[in-house]
Amino acid sequence: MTKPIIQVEHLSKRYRIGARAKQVDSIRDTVANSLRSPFRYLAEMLRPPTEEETLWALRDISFNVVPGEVIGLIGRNGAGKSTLLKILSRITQPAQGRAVLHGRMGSLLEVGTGFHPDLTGRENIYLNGTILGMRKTEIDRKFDEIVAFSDVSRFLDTPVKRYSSGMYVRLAFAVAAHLEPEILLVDEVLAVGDLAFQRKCLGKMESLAGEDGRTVIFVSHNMQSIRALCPRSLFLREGRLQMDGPTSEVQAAYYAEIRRQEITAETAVNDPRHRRGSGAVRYTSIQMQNTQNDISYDFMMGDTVRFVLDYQVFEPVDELYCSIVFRSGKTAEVVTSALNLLTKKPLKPGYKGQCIVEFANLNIRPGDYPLQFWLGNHLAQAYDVVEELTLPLIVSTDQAFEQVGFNPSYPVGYYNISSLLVSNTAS
Amino acid sequence: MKPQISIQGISSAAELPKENTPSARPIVIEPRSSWAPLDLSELWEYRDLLYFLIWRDLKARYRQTALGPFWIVLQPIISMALYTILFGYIAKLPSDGIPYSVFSYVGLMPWGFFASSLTNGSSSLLGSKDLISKIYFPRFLNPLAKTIGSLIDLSIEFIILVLLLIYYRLQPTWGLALIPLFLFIAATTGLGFGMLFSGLVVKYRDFGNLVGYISRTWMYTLPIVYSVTLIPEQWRFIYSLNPMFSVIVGFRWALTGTEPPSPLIIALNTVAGLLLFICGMFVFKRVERDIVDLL
Repeated sequence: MTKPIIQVEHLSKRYRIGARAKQVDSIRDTVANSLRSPFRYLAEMLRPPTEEETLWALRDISFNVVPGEVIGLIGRNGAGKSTLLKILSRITQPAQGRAVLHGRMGSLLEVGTGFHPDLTGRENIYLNGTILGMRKTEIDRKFDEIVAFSDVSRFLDTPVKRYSSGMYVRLAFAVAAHLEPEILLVDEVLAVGDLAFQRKCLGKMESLAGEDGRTVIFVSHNMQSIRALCPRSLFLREGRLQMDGPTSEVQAAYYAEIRRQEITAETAVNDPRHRRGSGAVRYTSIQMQNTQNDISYDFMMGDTVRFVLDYQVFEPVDELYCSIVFRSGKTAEVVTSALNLLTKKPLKPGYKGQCIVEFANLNIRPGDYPLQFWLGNHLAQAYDVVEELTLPLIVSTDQAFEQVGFNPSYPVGYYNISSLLVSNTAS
Repeated sequence: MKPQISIQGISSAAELPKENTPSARPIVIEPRSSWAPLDLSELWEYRDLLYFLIWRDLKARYRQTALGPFWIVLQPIISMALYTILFGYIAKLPSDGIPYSVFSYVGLMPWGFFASSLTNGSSSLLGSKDLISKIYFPRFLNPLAKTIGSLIDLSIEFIILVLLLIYYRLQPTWGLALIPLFLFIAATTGLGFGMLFSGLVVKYRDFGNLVGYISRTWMYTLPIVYSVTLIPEQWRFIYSLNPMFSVIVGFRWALTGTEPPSPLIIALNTVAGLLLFICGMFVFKRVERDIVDLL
């Protein structure tokens, strides 16, 4: 049995929600309170919070990681994934329990931390590198590599405030990726930058995880990346470690949880990552069905998938379009989308409707396709956007992989257009 | 809490990137039970970051300014001119037998250093909130880097002082040897007192203004623009218990040869400064623990 590189024992973290609510007091109240008892706040910080003002973000988490393991961390928003990473990267302290890390830790929690807009790219590489924990000599040695990876060599002596956001992110990621820590924490940073850069990042992640034998904890909503990179996964649910085991089993448990959640007009409306739009019209139910009218999530290539969408009008609208977008499970780019006109007639508040959209003969390659559902008008103004709240569309095949030409580790495309070997002769 | 960022750790990781032997000094993450003291070895391990933080502040401060580092000397010169006209020529305040301009400049120099230490201490957590909510490093590095940065400003101000001393033919005394001690008292008092407020400033932004007022008021409790001789004899001992007293009087004595502070007062001021620093550090360490959840 190898000695673990990360040992987490009964880790708990609580947030004081009572103290947080007080922060929204008016300035006058706050001044009056603080003048009345200037050190009450300090006294409050010193005493442990009572049970009703406590929110347990993490509760009694224990697990071990051996060197070279790549662990996926999955769970819904607010399940405690980010809190766990924050504790492991020592940004915040646990309330109970302990964690022991036997090695240097690097996190890609937030790329570009400490970048100063007035300093040049070159200067920021050094500043950011030392903030991440590198020594100056180490940055000197890796400098050329970092510059080459980031692809901003022409702008090295330009202040980063003049960089495009893409260049900024590339440079930031390049520094973070060259930290070469023994333990790497990654929190969905792969969604940054343009497509080509995302592929580069994914490649870097894979080489960090695979060839270099580094220990990685990888947080993502993207099950396909997790399946490709992580043999083992942890599933957090409401702050507790729900499951720890092979990714395929953990993923099944996670999907079972998502399946239980029904989309209503209110689901996740306060989370702009998953629900956006003006709210004039909202989806009240989203279902995926097969041609036998049964709810289904798994489809074979060539099947027909049917979306049954219920919606309700809350504010008057003049017309209504609906769109369904399939994203790539790997890079989140749009694989295909379908826009349908529902009505050109004005709709009044209270109107409820249902539409059914079918995709016949799914000709996309096996994989997970996270879904986006949209309601809006012809000006592309969104009334409702539901992003990755449902299970992804899962497409599989009974054909051999060689025949389909699909390897989940490499972006080989999404569509299966049949080809025929017409000739192959010596020339 | 010892990060694995020693020179040995890095060079071995670089030579043997595939080596994953758990290192001898693990990072232990657990709730800090007591008032943890300042971890000097950890600060030493992060010395490169300290260097780049100082360097960042210096570079960023004067970027896109036409006068650049001249601002450092411009501020005390303008204050000096203002006080010389107001208090020297109009109010005709006594200046211990040296020209009023030198008198006020020598007092304003260490005062400016102290005032910036005070601000750095109080805003140490708020000022770096973007950083501390995203990455771990010894939090004390930030106010420390800023204070060392103002030390560099101070040394540039010294150049102007030397010109003034030559012009007025004033002679420094052996007290020059005590300048580091005076700076130490100013830094510990300023940082320590400021850090007492570091948590409150995050929670209630009002305290940022309060610290500003304290700083401006504090200046007039010291013989910077007026002479100690204006203080009635019977109050002078209590007056000199202000930890900054021997810094101001001592600077003036060391550089222009006015009356020195008594050794007893210097000792008392040093102890007071150290105590303030230790108290401030404890508060800082205690607040730092939960502050990320409040930012």
